[in-house]
Amino acid sequence: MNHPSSETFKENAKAALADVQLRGALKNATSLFGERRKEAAASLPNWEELRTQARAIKDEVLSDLERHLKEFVRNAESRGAVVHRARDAAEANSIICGLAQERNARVIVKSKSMTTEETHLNDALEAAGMQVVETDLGEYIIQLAHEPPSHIIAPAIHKTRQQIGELFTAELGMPPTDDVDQMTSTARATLRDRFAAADVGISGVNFAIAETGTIVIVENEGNIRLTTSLPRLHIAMMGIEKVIPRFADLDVFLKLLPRSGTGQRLTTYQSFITGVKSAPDDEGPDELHIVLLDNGRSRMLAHPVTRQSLACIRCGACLNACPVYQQIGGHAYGSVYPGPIGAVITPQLMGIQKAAQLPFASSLCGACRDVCPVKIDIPQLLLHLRGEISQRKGSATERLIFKVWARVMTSPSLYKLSAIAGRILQRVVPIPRNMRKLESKSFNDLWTND
Amino acid sequence: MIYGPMINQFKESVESVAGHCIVTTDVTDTLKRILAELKTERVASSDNPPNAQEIFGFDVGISNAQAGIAETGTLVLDSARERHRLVSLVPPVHIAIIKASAIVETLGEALALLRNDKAISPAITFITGPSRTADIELTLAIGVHGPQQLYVIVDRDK
Repeated sequence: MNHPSSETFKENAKAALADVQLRGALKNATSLFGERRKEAAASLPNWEELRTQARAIKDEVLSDLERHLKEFVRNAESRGAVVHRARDAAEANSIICGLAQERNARVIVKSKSMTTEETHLNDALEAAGMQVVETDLGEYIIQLAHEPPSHIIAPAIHKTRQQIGELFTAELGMPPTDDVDQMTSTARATLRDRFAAADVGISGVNFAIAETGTIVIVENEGNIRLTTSLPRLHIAMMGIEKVIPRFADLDVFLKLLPRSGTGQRLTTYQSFITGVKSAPDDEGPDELHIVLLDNGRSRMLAHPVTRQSLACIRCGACLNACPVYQQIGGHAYGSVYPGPIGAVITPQLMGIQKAAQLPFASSLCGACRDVCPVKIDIPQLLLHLRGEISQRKGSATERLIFKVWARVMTSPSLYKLSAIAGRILQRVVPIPRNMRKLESKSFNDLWTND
Repeated sequence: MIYGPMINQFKESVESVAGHCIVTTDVTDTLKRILAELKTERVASSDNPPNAQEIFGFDVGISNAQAGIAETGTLVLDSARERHRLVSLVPPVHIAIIKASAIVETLGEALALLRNDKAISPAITFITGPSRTADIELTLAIGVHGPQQLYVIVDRDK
C-alpha cells in the first residue's frame, strides 16, 4: 500500500475529493461527531469557564515544563516506575525495542497511542522480530489493512462497514457480513488470544500528574486495561507536554476531553496507574517503564507563538469541525496528525519543508478555534507558519514582482508614471478577458480639472 | 431515605450507559437471582481472584466498588482495597456491589476522595457502563474487549 506524503498534499486532496465512498463516510462521521460534541458541551453550564481553566493549567505547565517533568519523574520513580527520556523518535524506539528484547518478548499488545504512531514504533518492533498487535478496534482494522490512521480518535473512520466486513473475511476468515456486532465479536475473540499470549503491553498516556507520578489513560473498549493489566511489562509512551500539575486538575480535563472527542460525559474506562504493584501477589505488571518523548516539542516550546501547540489534548474536535478535513479526510494530509491541529503540528515535528503545504490547507474560518477545549488559536498558528514558509520559499520571480509592486504603490510619482504607462501599453498589448481596461482619464485628473 | 435523590441519579446514569442497576437492602438475594438468570457457575470474585491465565475461563466477575459518581453513573475501584483489575475486566459479565453511602455526586468529589488517601493506589479504575466501541461507522457496539454486561447492585441500609 502506498501512503500519501505531506509533500504531495494537493494531489492527495484531489484524489480524496474524487473518492465517493470516502466522502460519504467522512460526512457521516464528522457531522455526527460534531452534533454530539455540541450537545455535550451545551449540557454543562460552565463550558466556557472550563475551557479557560484548562488553558490556564496548560499555560502554567508550559511556562516551566522542565520543573513539572522533573516532579513527575521523581514521583513516578518513587513508586517503582522507570522513566526514560527520548530526544527523538529513533531514540524512543530503540529504548522500547531494547526493553522488549532484554525480556525475550515475542508478542506485544498495543493500545492506541498517537505518539507511537509518530515514532513508527511498530515498524521498529517488527524489524526486531517481534509480533505487534494493535488492540483498539479501529487501530486493529487499519493494521489489518496496512493503512495509517485517518482520525486522531477514530482511526478507521474513512472505512465503510462493507469494506471492514470484506477485510475481516479475507484476513480473519469471518463469514461474510456487514453486521457491526458480528465484526466486533470476531475482533474480540481473535484479540483475546493475543492478550493471553502477550509478554509486553504498550500504551499511550492522556495525562501525567506531576504531584503524584500517576499516568491516566481514557478509553471505551477495555483494551487499554487489558494491555496495562495482563502482560508482565507495561511500557507507556507520552509526549513531554502531557504532564499536568495536580491530581485535582483532572476534574477539568476529564470533563472536556470525552465531551469534545465523542460527546460522552465520561468514557467507559479511566485507568489511573501510579507506579508498580505494591505487593508481589497483587495484580498487574511487575514493571512499568514510561518513555517521555521530545521529538521536536522543545523547539515548539521555545517559541512564544508556537508554544500553544503543546496545549493540545488530542480530542479530535478540530478535525470534525474543519471544512477542509470534512471533504478530504485524514490520509490526504500525509501525516500522523491530520486536520487543523495536524497542519500546525506536522510542519513543526517533521520539518517545515516536508509539510509546507499543510498550513495552507485551511480557509482560516476559525471553526477549529471555536471548538478547541483548550482554546488553541489554530488560525493564528497557521498564519504564523505560513509566514515562515513564504519567507523561506516563494520563487525569485514572485519575490521580485512583490518588491516592485511595493515600491510603486508607496510612491505617488511612480504610481502616476505606471498609470500613464498602463494606458499606453493597453493599446498595444492584449489584456486578459477578466481584467478591466483602465479609463482614459484617472479619477485624480477628473477631480483636479473639472 | 436520606440517600434518595442521589441513588436515583446514580441509577439513572448507570442505565443511560447501558448498565443494569438494582437498589436493594438484600445484596445476597439479589446476587443469587442475577447468577441464576445468567445460568453459570464459572464465577470469579475479587475475594480470591484467578490469575492472569485462569481468568479467561470465567463467565462472571464479582467485585465491590469503593465509590460511585452519581452524575455519570461511574464506579470507582481501588487496587489497594481489593484485587479488582481482572475480575471487573475479563469475564463477559461484571457484577459490582456498592454501598449507597459511598456514592458522591460529582467527579470532582470522587477525585478529591482519592487524593485524600495517604498514597494514591497503584491502580484505580473508573468504570461507566459496559465496554463499548463505535469504531465502525460510529455505530455503537457493546462489549468489545471488556464486559458485555454490567450489573451494579446498590446496597441500601435497611
